[in-house]
Amino acid sequence: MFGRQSGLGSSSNSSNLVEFRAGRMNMVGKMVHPDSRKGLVYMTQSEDGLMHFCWKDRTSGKVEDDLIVFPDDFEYKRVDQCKTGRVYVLKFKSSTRRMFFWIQEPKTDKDEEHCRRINELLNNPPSAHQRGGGGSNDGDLQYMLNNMSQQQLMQLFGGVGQMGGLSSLLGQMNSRTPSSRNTSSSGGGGASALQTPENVSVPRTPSAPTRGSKSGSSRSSNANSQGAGEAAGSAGSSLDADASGKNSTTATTTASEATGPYANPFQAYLSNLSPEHGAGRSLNIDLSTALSGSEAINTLIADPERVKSLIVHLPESEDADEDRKQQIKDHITSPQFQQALAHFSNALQWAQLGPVVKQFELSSEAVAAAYAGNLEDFVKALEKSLPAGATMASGGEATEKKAGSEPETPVAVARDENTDPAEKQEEKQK
Amino acid sequence: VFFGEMAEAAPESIAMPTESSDGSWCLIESDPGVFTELIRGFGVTGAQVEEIWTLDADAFHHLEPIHGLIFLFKWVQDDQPAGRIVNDRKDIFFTRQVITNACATQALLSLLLNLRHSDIDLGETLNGFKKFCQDLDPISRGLCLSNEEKIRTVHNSFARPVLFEMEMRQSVPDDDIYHFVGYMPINGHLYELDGMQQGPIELAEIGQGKNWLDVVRPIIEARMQRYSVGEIHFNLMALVSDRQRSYERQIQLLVHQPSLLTPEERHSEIANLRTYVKFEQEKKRRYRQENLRRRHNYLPFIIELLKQLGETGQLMPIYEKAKLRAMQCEAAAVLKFRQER
Repeated sequence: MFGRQSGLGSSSNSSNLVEFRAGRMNMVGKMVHPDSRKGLVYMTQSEDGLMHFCWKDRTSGKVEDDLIVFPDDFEYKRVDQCKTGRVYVLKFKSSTRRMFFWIQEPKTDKDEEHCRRINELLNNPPSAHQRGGGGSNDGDLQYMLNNMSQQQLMQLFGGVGQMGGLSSLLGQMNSRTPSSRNTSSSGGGGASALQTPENVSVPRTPSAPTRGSKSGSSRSSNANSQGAGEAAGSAGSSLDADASGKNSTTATTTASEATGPYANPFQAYLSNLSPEHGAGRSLNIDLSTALSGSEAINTLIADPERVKSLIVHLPESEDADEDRKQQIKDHITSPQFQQALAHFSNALQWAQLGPVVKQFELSSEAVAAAYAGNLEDFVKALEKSLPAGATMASGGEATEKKAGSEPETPVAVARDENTDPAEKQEEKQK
Repeated sequence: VFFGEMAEAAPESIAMPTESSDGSWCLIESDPGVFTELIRGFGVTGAQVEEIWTLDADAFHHLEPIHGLIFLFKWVQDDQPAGRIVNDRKDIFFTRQVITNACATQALLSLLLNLRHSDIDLGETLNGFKKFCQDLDPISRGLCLSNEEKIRTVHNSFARPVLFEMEMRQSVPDDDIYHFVGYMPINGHLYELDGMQQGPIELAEIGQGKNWLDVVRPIIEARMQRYSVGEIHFNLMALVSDRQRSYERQIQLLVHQPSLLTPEERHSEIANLRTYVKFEQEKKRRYRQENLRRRHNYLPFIIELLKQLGETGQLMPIYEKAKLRAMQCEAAAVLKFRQER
């Protein structure tokens, strides 16, 4: 599944998720000069789950660039300005910084695939180890943050220009050692920058990272999914709207007193981010961030019946001979599709898709979840669906799902009847 | 039947909520593939748009002739015109911008309608529009453009299909506005064409025999510098002649005309040019594919895909992973926000 390079001899590291021979180009002033040294571009995942984008000098063996890359912070794409097209740029979305590379692989046939792979890994890294069951997500995040060095955190969350604020923040984080735990009231205990979450719950979109590109293909320049920026933006505002009550009560506790099982107040704050109650509204979950590059798609398209049912909903390919499985994969990794899926995820969580979902042949629970704006319940409902073949375009008919095909089971789908969909579902599940 | 509005914007394009559809202009992406297809859609032949990463003379050279440059940036209110505004020039076709969403088309047209180059044929629609508006003032021209159905239809065809009706705007509206500005040489002078200004801005004289790029380079670099310091996003695109044609022409010249090169050199050069031609063809194919995807309504596919993933028990792990991502992004945003305060 990952692009392993064989035949690269001693420079190949089998634990690299992708690698290919490429040289650097150095920006000196306003000019970009190719660096003639033989090099290797590769990506790995460190033990703490972080993704690294690296460049190594193949002759000296020295790793000269080792960047921690966080989803939706970077985009890797071909530079069309260049005649032969074997120059690529790693574009930093939140700044104007760029790094250029020129491909040194003798054959061009894998250029696009490498580019795609890099973008997948940049934006959809393989999952960090799961720690326990459903509540493990908090654990993962904290484990990750817990294990980052100061330098890594700085790289993660800002740049050189922002070092001042961040180092003071980190300084305060470090000073809240377990020994300083006490149960003083909010007034005492020395306020730190890791203050009341209510201060934090206002990341308005202008200061949140701008929505960047999630590139699924080499040319996928600007067409991007909602991804991080939107998540940050609307999560911020919904934290404000939905959880401000919750935040203000925990504010005093997290700011100054014992941080419980967490090493510092920041982690305690982060734990509050997990949507315990409600429909996961404090976070905007974008399904497209986890779909691309996943084995799940391969599993589906291994089944020709499934391929048929899926391809029916895709536009006709220019090339009649094009492999249908590849077509499906290409669409799924395309930025256009990812954007559509991100939009869908977003709209569903904002309870906008009840009427829309109703028009497809999904279960009543799925419809109810859509009306309620509960993505998790929607997913659960789909997992309880009928087995394969029962609802798909069975018999191979190429029918597109149309509006008007109402589900047969009588179900209260009108908005006012769904006042307690959560309850309804609980009843049904019992 | 699905209808309605898409409230959020594609990145690097104008982030404004779309208006209702009828006679209005939709948001489109600022992507060289989109722009190239857009101008072809207007009926222009012999031109394409390329994204520019560096103004380094060498990197530029093979793209020449460069007919104009488009600078895309987040609009900053305090931008003073960099030169004097000239309002009375008959030889410059200037159009005021009256529609925000039409920004991209507006910038492209401001270059195209001032072009007189043998490589490029504006085609019937644009020639017709230009003729019709020749004697009008810039604002009237802007209004005519906003009502020009053919142009608007092509422009809107690059907007993504609306997947479903929305009751409310689910995303926090982004208050940033992106803007496009054109740079081009007209009759020996360098101009900045910005539909938001009162008229064309005269920046500099281009001396006899001088390459206009050498004149515009420091000006754009200074602008980029200013924007980099403030970490303002910008993009630079060049309006160039159709490159495939240009390479093919060069091949023809090498094949049919006596040359100073040795036979080996000639062969090698022809082989190179053939590679470049292939690359351009591949690029065009890619653009068409991207446009196909842009226009496609993915909703039925999404539902079918999620259904299948659910049936095979793979949807929940995907959901969990997406949830983790969302938390990571939130954490990042929180820290970033703190720093900025």
